[in-house]
Amino acid sequence: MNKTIKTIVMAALCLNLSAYAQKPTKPKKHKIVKTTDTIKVSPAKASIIEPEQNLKEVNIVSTGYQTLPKERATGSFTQLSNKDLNRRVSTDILSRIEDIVPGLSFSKNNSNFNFYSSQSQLSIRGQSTIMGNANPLIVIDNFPYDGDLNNINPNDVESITVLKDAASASIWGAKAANGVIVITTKKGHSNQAPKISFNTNFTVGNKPDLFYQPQMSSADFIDVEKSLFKKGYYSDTENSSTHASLTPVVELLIAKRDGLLAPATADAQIEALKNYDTRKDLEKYFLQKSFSQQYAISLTGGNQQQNYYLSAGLDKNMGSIKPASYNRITINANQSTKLLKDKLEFTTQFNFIQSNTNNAPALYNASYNNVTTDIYYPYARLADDQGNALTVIRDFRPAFKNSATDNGLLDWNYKPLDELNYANDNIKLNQFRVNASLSYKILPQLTASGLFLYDHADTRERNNQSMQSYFTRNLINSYTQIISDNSLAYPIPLGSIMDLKNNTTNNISFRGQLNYNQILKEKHQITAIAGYEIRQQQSLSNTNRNYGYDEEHALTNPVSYLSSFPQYFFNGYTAAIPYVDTEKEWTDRYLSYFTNAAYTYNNCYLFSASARLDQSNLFGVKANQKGTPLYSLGLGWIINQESFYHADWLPYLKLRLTYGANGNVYKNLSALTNATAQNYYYNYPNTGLPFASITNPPNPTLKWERVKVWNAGLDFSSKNARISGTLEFYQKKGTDLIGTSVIDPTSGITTFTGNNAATMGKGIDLNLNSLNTNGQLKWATAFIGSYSKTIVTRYNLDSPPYTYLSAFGQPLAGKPLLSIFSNKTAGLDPQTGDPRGYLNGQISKDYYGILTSQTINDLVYNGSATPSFFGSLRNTISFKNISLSANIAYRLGYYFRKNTVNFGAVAQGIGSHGDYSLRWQKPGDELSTIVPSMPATPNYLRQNFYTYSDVLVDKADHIRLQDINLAYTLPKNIVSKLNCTGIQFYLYANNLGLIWKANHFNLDPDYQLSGPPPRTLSLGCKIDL
Amino acid sequence: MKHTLLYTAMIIILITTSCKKGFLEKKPDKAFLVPTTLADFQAILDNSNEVFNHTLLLSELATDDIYLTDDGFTYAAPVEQNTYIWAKDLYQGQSQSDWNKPYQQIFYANIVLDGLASNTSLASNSQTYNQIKGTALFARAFALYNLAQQFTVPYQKATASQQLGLPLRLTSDVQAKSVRSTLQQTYDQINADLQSAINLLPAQTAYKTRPTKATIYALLARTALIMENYPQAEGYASQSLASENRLLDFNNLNPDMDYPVPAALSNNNPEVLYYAVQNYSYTFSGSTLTGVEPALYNSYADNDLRPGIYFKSTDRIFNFKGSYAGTYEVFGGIATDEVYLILAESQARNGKTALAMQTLNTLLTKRFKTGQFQNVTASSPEEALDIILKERRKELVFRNIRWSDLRRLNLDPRFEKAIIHTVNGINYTLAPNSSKYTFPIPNDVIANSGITQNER
Repeated sequence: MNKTIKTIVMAALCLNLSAYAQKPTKPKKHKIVKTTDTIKVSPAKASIIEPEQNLKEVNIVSTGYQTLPKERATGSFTQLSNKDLNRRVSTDILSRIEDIVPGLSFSKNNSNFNFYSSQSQLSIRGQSTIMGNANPLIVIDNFPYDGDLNNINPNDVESITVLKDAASASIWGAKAANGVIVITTKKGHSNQAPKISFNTNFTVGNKPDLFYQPQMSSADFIDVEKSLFKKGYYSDTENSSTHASLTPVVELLIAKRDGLLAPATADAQIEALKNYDTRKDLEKYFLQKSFSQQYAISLTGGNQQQNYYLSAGLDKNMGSIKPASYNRITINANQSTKLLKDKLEFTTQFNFIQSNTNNAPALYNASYNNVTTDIYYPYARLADDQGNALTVIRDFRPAFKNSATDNGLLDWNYKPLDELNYANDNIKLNQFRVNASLSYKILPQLTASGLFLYDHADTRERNNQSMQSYFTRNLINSYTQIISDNSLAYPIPLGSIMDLKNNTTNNISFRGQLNYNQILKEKHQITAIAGYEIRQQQSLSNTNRNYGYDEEHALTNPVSYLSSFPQYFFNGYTAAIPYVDTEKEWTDRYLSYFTNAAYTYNNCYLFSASARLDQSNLFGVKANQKGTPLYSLGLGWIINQESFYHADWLPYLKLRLTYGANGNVYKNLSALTNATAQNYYYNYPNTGLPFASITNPPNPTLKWERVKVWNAGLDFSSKNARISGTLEFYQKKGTDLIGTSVIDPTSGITTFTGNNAATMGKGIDLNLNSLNTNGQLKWATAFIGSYSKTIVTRYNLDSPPYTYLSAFGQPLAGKPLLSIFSNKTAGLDPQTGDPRGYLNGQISKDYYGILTSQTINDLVYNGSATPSFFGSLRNTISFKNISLSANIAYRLGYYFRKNTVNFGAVAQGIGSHGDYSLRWQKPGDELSTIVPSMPATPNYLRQNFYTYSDVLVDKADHIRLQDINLAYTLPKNIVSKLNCTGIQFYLYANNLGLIWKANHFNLDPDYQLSGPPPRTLSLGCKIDL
Repeated sequence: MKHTLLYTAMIIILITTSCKKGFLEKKPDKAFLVPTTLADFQAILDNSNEVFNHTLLLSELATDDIYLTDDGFTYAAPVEQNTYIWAKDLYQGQSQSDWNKPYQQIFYANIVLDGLASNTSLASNSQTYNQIKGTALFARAFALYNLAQQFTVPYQKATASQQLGLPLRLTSDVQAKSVRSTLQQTYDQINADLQSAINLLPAQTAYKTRPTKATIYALLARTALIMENYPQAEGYASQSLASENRLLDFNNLNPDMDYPVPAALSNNNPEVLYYAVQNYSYTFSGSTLTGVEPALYNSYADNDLRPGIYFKSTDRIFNFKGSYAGTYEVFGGIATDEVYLILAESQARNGKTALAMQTLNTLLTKRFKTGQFQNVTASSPEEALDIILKERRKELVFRNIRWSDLRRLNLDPRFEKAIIHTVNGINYTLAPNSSKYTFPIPNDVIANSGITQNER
């Protein structure tokens, strides 16, 4: 029976995969049938040595290929137990590893940089890629996971191992340059009585703070509008035949000018508008306290031959912006069976996830003026005093909109509050994963295994923009045609507009692996694995739009995409009906061969080596550049095993040293000229011919990125583990990194991307645990301290100095990957309030001269934009059944640039940052403000000089009280009366706030745009039956 | 047991090798396209949305045709304001699409030309192949021509070999260093590309975004006019008209429409030889506060249909609406009316007065109310030239032509003209042959290439 399965699986897999190939070589079937008789497969999870033999306290690390006792490892691993992970309360798993892994840092909502689209949410030991994927590799149960991490229910996670150096991670080869996070889900255990566990919690979160970043006040905004009106700034729009909208104040000023409104009335109405702030209405009508519920139940057990783990989870989250919500159901069924006198082990894991997300309409964003283009004046009222929805002006002038309605068009008014009722943007996800393995003990010391994964995720977004919604009414009206007899024709049919987005990902992976483990003469221990892996990750996505959708009967209507229609608001402008349908297919393929061997002599000397060859479908690259060989070497010395070692106070002492290379692949480039085929662009007069855009100039030298890593570590533990810890030093040298440089635009492109960069990262990770008091009152402290600095050592093209200033700054050789530079300033001009800098050593206001003649040395280098020192201090105090734990996190040694007013935006009547009110207005102000005066005419150079001036940069160092966890475990006697084995209640408070910050702007440097994440409070209960 | 091991090893080898071939050849993204076929190259050249079929714009703002109200000046971006008053620094350090866009066109054209050369399997003499190659050569010449009018000094034969021209990029290698050629070399390259293209292109195309034989001759004629080689200009203009000489009759157009000229891309405007629109990344061209110079507006005769077709009146000024694109896009391509005017001008300059007036009258009959037009006559070549140049300005307003005309005509003392722009009561003057007739090269180009900046 098992043979048959093996044969089918093997043959099917092979055929399946080769079907994708252009010229598949079909395997000779009879050979497979013959030879599979002897295939011996074992799950990778099976440990290569029996850890229980050697260690009193089991501390197993998992690389995703093998598990090994931490003591025997040469590499850099951080192991997180179930207990570590359960300290925090969250819907997702990733946030639970924050602040508990040395070297791992989360990049915050830092407005300093948005150039690096690839910048990851979290990084392990700094970032050693510039353009490439900077995310650590996530491995779930033996195989890489590319799906949405939000789909993993933290209640199903048993442990997490973070792999940080080459020896630990290089088994993952080309994808391991950013480190690896190995997630192991819960499994059953042999000989265990059935156990039911139940966990539930409720979390309430505050509303986000819309007022955190100051915005130009309504009064200031209106004053600017008045002065712009006086200058005639709006007369172009007013006369425009497109009937483009003007704000209420400008409309009042026009009415006043044209005598349609008595001057006093107009002025009074304008004054009244100064008292409104849209954010107050947004807060009142669109924000709510978030509320999350989590329920998880599991059943686990097992006998000698078989064990199982079954679980179900339900998460119901209500977001802080109405009507955002997220619901998730997860179901797991895992089993493991041993057959043939325990020689054959067969495991299956089945995992199902369904989630349902409702998106809130995009009304609010934290840009300068805090409102989107939808509501573009800060004094817009969303509701009257009775709470009735009010019209907000947008797109066209009210008089025009009213005349359109008189002509029979749909109501054209925009009432944001009503839009809440029409929002129907829903994303449904269905994902299932099947993970199966067979392993067979060929010899006592040799196991062969085959592992298989199929992961399928389907995401369907349905955004039904009903005919009541402004979006749909506006589009229908814009295309409405008035025919000669004054009847109306609707090129965009009446009905809702339904946008559908589908994305399907399929991941098929197979791994064949041999595990070898032998102890010779009790002194020599050899463990080795070898195998190969084949993987295909495919993503298919498409978007479709249905016009004139009839919700009642699920009917859609055809439209004519090929014709152009004069627009109702301006018949000189013709446009085709927006065509948004797209189709996208992406395939990643990897083929890898790996081996890994470790030798231990006398339980004292450790030697490890690994090698891996990775190949991928890099486009247009010669075969020999498609792959990259990667390797690692490691040495370990367990000093306390030496006969000369007699330090009883330090019973455990171990030294480790490793070296190796990891890789990273960047697939958006090609060695050949690469173009992207496109269809015509809808709202442009065009030929309708298909066309191509060149996305990538030829790059014949394209290859993989490589990162070479040194790691030296010291592990120690005092008697009774009162003090224990790990100290590690590392160096990461990135070569052949992909980088983008500004290039002479005469070449036809403005930036060039290729393997032209190198980085050097250095750092220290310290993990120190102490048990301060032991007894009735237990007090334990865990300290994590990391130092990390990545310097760009090579960047091929020098860019003009000013490019290093802007947010889209270039990496610069000799400086950290993400650095902050600024203009040296000499205060404001006491007469005019203009910002002043230096030109040739003299105080100057010649911004053009400063810009063009400055060298990089004329700029102020402030420092790194990412923390150099970071970590946490966690104290846990337990007394009897109560335990209290608080985590303090710190991030030190970096800088941030404060946002400020953009006078260019002010002069366009768009509004800007609240620093506007602090601007220089009269001589003497320069003593108390750093904000320049409003220039008479917009001046980019002056604005840029100020935006990137040194007075706006400050230290971002801070310490925050991250969270507090209070748990109460019911005493044993009560629990057993309730027929339970354990009951715990817990209270958890998160995002508690800053304790200290270095900057004098009084800002949370990690969240200056949107304000710190809202505080949350959770209450939960765990029951084990 | 030994056998077991052996078989295990064998099956692993078998599976790995059997699955490997072709497995890694799969394209990561289906939309990826490595241009190798003629259809691919055609698709690159058909990128009229983002790349080709766009001309420069900023110089239009520096001419005497344009008039900004004080409000319009306030509304304009700083670079536009600076251009309008001929400031010394125009760009305030900003990158300029007026430079980047034409060089992007040259890059795309070079990708096609290099691709045709390296893909030897392509049927190199087929009509499609020839048309693609000819189109790429034309695109390169057209981009260089447009750049030369804005970023190099006006052409004078005597000094052209000593003066700085444009960087000539003739391969798609983006790493090649930019070096400024001489002005003579720049114009030689334009002519060489056009000469190579003549016999490759068809007489007609279904799409106005693709050039024809008549387009090439028209651009050769334009270039000859700039180089003051009037016999050549006359020859090329006649050859262009021999291939395509149709004219729109303005009597058939409805001046009440927002855009009275029929749309070029739907092939309703027979005058359009090659469709191109002016760079749209600046705001002034669409503004209702931008108008035609009042004196120019007043110079049209009463029975002339053009002012009604070309302009609309808002309360203070006359906005332009007569784009040959037939849409809100402002036309900057090549049309037969211009070729008639090149022919007439070069005939007059070559002493063929009667012929010149005959050519001009062929055009003007289509511009005046039917039955109210009287043939224009001239008694001398000088008088003919004077009439033709005035008509040229009236006919080709807002077509990206006036700036190059000002540059070349100022070289002749008879036609020198100082231009005045008034903003908020202050008069700014552009003297004839001023160094301001050459735009500075954008700062980021100078910084990244190290090429020499223009004197200004």
